[in-house]
Amino acid sequence: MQHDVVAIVPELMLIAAALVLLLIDPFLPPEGRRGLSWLGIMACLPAAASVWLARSEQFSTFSHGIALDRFAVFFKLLLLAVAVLAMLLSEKHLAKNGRLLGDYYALILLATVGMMVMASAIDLATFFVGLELMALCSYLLAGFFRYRERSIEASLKYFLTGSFASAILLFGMALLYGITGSTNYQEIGVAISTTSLDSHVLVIAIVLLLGGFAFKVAAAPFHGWAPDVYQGAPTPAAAFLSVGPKIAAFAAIIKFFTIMLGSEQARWVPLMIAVAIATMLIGATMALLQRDLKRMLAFSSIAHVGYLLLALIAAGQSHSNLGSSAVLFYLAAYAAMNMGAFGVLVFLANSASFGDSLDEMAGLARRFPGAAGVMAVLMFSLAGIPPTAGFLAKFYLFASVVDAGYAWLAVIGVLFSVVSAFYYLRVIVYMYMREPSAEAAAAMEPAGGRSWDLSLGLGLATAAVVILGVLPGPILNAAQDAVAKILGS
Amino acid sequence: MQFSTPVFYIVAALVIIPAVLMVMFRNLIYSAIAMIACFIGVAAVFVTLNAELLAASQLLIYVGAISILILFAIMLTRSRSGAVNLFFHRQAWMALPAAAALAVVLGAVLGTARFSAGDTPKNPATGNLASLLFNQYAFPFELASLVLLAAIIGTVLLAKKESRP
Repeated sequence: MQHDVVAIVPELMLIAAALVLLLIDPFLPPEGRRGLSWLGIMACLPAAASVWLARSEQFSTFSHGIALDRFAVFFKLLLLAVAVLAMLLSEKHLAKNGRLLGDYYALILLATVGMMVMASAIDLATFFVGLELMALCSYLLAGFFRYRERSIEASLKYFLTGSFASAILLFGMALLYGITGSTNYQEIGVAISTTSLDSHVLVIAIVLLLGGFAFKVAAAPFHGWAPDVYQGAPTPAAAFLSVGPKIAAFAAIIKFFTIMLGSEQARWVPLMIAVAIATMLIGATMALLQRDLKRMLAFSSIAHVGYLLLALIAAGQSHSNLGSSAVLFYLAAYAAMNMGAFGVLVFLANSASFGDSLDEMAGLARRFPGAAGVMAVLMFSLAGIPPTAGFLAKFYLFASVVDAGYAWLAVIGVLFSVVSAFYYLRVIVYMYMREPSAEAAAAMEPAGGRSWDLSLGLGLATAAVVILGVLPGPILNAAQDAVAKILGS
Repeated sequence: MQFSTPVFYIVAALVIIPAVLMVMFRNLIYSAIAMIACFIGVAAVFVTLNAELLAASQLLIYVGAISILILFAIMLTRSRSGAVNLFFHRQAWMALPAAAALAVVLGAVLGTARFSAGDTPKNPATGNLASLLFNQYAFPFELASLVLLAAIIGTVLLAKKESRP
């Protein structure tokens, strides 16, 4: 019993903080709401500490519904870091747009609870409730600037496609339950690998699961919502949405496709290869065409999902843990660089009248040298240029793909990665080597005060990108440890 | 009580026909009424599966409460009358063959499938359901309350009147 609670103490802390935020928000005057973000951040820190203290535990609880293992610890810490970054990036932007409300932070905390449950669940029912909690909060965050048409459009699109994706995923999970008679990951895995099941139903279940997850992580051909949602959502919310749900979904994908469907990799690997190649192709080529930076980052995140799927193929094919641990390390690097890149856009939108277009980046290095420098580091990292986190993440990822015997897939991945370097470096060229047009220069005059929260968030993200690139050892070890000690496989 | 196959088909038609009508109608009130019919059909499906508690709660919550709420919502918003234009309309012709193909594949596979979960007759007596819900699935059950909380926050956020900045 006392074990049961240990496994969910961090979640309980976040829930408590979310409730406090909701309760005190109506009693505060508008200027009193400054600093509410710190209430949320201050809940994440002890939550992270409690995750860390229980790092050597290894058990499942709540009738084998959730697992507390190294895998869950890794993902919970990563998700908490993402939540803290998201809250640091948000405050000034919300205040500037007149939507500084405690509800925003409560939604981020509740979404994080859902993601943490998704990452630690080992039961289909538990997983699905966590997924829905995360999804519902995500739709609301996308529509948080509800007086903007774009924001409402983003929310509605996200809601419609997301509900369909959830339904498809649920259908696949129901079929798995139907043929195996269990909702527990491990029992399903045993049933699939030892008994002769109706293989046609199994194939359908795999297709439905893959389709549902492809929606959730914005993999082709179910990626269409991502650019519209990231463009329409408030920029700090877009930063959170482009990272958090993907991390949680990949945690679940690893568990689904190794614990449950590990013995069936001959069936799902070809499908996933097709999805991965299509995703990289669409992400890399469509990003080339974008003039809007948020849309560009959306397509770039689609391309990154393609690389991540390559490592999942490696995880399914080879019996080493290289593929899965490459996914974990890549997710950590991706979280830092993507949140940082969106954070720079938040900074520019706060400091001047900035419309997220590439042309407005011209001559940025002179007007905002700090922001331009940070953006340059992050773009180098997203492109995968050493000595940044993005380079090492891609290196480990492609190495694991080669190790699994898919050298040709790794070559395709590297080729797309070269293509993608073009649109990342283009941003740097604009910032440092282009003269701004007269009206763009006038619009980008610095205005308004600084936000220390935002600077801190950007500093943390950039530091993480550099440190992961120079000293990858601890995180890499943690990732390998997490995959080696995953409960139930 | 065992139900025969023809009964199942009749009940299935009671679900599917209103569901299709609900999507097809251009008038929101008609759609809402078709949706209520669909909910009643789902309750009938639960009855054929001997899940009386689910059937009762389906009737009470979906048919009774949620439908009324939706009718009120339609009444209180501007678009209570007149046809509503469909968006996403251009892609409808592509969706039809895709949906038909999916229906054929699912029908062919699932129609002959053998589900081991169905082999062991579960007793959906209310007491057993409660002990499942409050023992094995206590955690997701409690977590569902947070989903509801998020939904309430969302309703307030999206509907609350306030001055534009």
